[in-house]
Amino acid sequence: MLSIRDISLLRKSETSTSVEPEADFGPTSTLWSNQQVFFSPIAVPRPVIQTIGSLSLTIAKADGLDYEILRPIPVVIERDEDYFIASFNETNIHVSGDTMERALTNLMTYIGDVFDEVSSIGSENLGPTLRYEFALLRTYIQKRNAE
Amino acid sequence: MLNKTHALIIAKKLEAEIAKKTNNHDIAKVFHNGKLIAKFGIRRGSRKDQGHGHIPRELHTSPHVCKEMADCRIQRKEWLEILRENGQEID
Repeated sequence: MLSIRDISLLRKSETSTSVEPEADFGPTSTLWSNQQVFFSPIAVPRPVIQTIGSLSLTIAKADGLDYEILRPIPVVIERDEDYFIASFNETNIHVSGDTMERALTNLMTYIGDVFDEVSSIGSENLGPTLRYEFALLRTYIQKRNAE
Repeated sequence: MLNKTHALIIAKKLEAEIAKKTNNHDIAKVFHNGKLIAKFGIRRGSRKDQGHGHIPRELHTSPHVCKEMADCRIQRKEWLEILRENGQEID
């Protein structure tokens, strides 16, 4: 397992953008991030991507997407065999991606697609669980230019 | 590993309606008694081996159950029963 000091060194040498998770190991040896990131490809040192089991972060801004974020979206990215699963667990929205960055990008666009699709169906046509999840999702995002 | 081929079979097994989207995923919507009770994303692209490990979570079930559905050993009716047994409100 990489130590925090090693991760800092890796971050200095191998990351390429200014947006990166704050690396820290939690009590279960999980790599955690308490830092909010804007929606752009995250930069995680490649050796860390190969090593970690999961990464937690929050998304605070959705530039370039057709919705805006009302409050930070908690995201967990986990490795599953040779690809990654990004999850917005509270609303049961999950996607896969070949890389950590792709999984996060997919999640952000998928959140908007789910919002549109479920909105078009209408709350009265949702089962109890999805009705709850959609109500929760509406506390996190809204369409741009919505009154 | 669940892949895109499995995802498409599961969608068919669950009699899901596929909503074509312009982004990276289409959305499979599962209705029961006229209500949307579950949805899951199907990755776009031609590669059939694309990982779809997110599907069990979106369907409130286990990877094993999803694999069984993809292998035609679990049908929609049984999946609905599993949801009920797991305490999911679907009715």
